[in-house]
Amino acid sequence: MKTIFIVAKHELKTAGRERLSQALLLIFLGMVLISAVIGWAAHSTVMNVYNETLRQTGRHLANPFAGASPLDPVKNSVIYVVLIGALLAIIAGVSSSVRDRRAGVIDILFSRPVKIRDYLAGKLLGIQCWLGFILLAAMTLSWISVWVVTSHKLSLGDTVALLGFFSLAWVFLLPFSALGLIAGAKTRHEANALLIPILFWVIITFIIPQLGTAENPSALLNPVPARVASTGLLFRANRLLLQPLSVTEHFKHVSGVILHLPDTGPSSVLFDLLVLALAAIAGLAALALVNRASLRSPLYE
Amino acid sequence: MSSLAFVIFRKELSDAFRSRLLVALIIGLGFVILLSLVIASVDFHAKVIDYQNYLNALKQAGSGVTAQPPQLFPLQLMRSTIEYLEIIGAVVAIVIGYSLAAKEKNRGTARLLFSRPVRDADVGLGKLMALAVIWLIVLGALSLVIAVSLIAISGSSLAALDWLKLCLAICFAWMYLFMWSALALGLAGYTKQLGTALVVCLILWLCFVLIIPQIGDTMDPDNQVPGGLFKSLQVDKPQEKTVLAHFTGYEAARNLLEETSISKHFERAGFAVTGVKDTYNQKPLAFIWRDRWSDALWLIAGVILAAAIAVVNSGKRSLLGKGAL
Repeated sequence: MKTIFIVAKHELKTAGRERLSQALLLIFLGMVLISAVIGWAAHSTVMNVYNETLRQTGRHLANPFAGASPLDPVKNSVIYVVLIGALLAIIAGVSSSVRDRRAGVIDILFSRPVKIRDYLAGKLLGIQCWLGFILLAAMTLSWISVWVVTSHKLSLGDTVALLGFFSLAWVFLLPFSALGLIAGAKTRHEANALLIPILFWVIITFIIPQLGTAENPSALLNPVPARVASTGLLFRANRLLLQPLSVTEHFKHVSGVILHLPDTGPSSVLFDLLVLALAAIAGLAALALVNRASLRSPLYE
Repeated sequence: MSSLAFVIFRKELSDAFRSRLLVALIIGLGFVILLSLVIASVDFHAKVIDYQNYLNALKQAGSGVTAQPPQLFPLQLMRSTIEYLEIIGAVVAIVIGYSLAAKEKNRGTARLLFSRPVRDADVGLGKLMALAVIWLIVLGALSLVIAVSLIAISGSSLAALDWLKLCLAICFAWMYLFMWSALALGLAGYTKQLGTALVVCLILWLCFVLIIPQIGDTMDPDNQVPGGLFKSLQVDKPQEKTVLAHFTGYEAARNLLEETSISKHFERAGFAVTGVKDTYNQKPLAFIWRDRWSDALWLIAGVILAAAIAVVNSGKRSLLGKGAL
C-alpha cells in the first residue's frame, strides 16, 4: 500500500510539471470557462429571437426556455469532458508509462521489492488525483461563471448536481487513463502508444453510436445523447448489440439527467451507470494484465 | 524539382506502402467510409418504408392527402463520408506526415542523408511530393469505392455532373488531408522530441476539427431548442430570415468563429458540391462556385502554409535534432 502512495505522489508531482499536461489543462479549463459565456450568449440571443418573433407575428407562443435548468449554461462542459477530458486522460496515461520506460527507471524500480500491480495502481491513482484536481477546478470555474453570466448564485441543490456531474466525469475518465497507461506500457513505439487509444476513443465516440442511431458524426458532438435518426431493423439490432459499448453516449445521458437538460428523461439511468461502472472495472482489469516484460521492453520514438 | 528530391520522393513512396501501420490505417479509413455509405443507404431505405407505411395509414383512414416521397440523390449519402474524412481522415493524415519525419530521426538516417550533397529544400520537396502522391492514390482508391457503392445503392449509374462533383469533393479532401500531413511533417521536424510534435498536432486537431465547429454549432440559435427553435416557434423559412435579419451581428460573430476552422471550410465545400446542403442540391457548379469559392481559397491557403512549414522544417538543422521544443 505504501508503494502505491509513493508512486501516486511522484506521478502527481510530475504531471503538474509537464508542459503538455499543463497545455491540456489550460485548454480544458478555458473551454469550461467560455462554455458558460457561450451558453449565456446563445440563451440571450434565443430569448431576443423569441421576443422578435412575437413582435413580428403577433401570435402568442410558448417561451422555448420556460422551465430551463439553471445549469443549462454549463451543458457544453458535458461534451468537453468527452472530447478534451478523455484525450487529456489518454495523454496523461501514455506519458506516464512512456516517461518511465524512456528514462530506464523501470529496470531500477523492479530491482527493488516492488510489485507491478502496486506500481500500476499508484500510477493510475496519481493520474486520477491529477484529473480530480482539474475537474474540481473546472467545477469551481463553472459555478463562478454561471453566477457571473446569469447574476444568480446556484442553489445548494444545483451545486450538488454540478458536483455530481463532475464526479461522474471522474469515473468516466478512469478507463481512458487506464487505456493510456496500458498503451504506453505495451507498445514498442511512442507514436503507436498515443495513436491506438485515440483511435479506440474515435470508435467509441463516433462509429459505434452511429451504427445504432444513423446519426451523423458531427451531431454526436452535441451535449445531449444522439437521437435515434432511423428506426430501420439494422439500427435496432445494432442498438441492442452495441449500446453497452457507447460509453460516451451513456455518460452524456446521465450527465443530462443530473444537469436537468431537456431531451434527457430519467429512463435507463441505472443501465447507464452500470455501463460506466463496468467500463471503469474493465479498464482496471485490463491494467492488471500488464506484465513486467512489456514495461521493460525497448521503446522507440 | 532536382533529381535528389525525386530520389527522396520515390524512397518515401515505397516506404509508405511497405509500412504495415500506414496500410492498416488506410484500410481502416476505407472501411469506415464504406460503413458510412452503407448506414446512409439503410437509413434512406428505412425512410422509404416509413413513408409507405404512412401512406398506407392515410389511405386506410380515407384521407386524400399525399406527402412528398423521399427522393434519393446519391451524392447526398456522402454526408457522413465527408465528416469521417474530416475527423478520422485528419488523424490518419497526421500519422502519415509525422512518420515521414519520425523515421529519419529515429533510425538516424537523417545524419546519413545530410552527409551527401543534398539541399535542405530537396528533402522537404521530396517528402511533400510523396505525401501528395500517397493521398492521390489513397483518395483515388476511396473514390472508386464510393462511386461503386453509390451506383450499387441507387441502382443506376451516376450522371456526368455527379461524377464531376464527386471528383471535386475528392479534390477538396485531397487538399485537406495533404494539409494535415504536411503540417505534421513540419512539426515533427521542428520539435526536438517527436512525441511533443504528435501531441501538438493532436491538440491542433482537437481545436480545429472538433472544438471550434462544435462551438459554432452550439451558438446557432436554431440548435438551442430540441427539434429546432424555429420549428418550435412555428416559423417558416422566409419568416426565419426576416427575424434573423435583426441578429446579423451575432450571426457574423458565429460565422467568423467557424471561419477560423479549416475543417469547417472543407465541410462547407464538400457539402456544397455533393448537395448535402439542400441549397446546393442539383445546382450547376457555377452556382455553387459563386457561393463557396472562399472555402476553396481557404483550403488552398492552408495547403500552401502547411507545405511552407514542412519545407522550412525538413532541413538539416531540424532533422538532426536541433529543433526548438
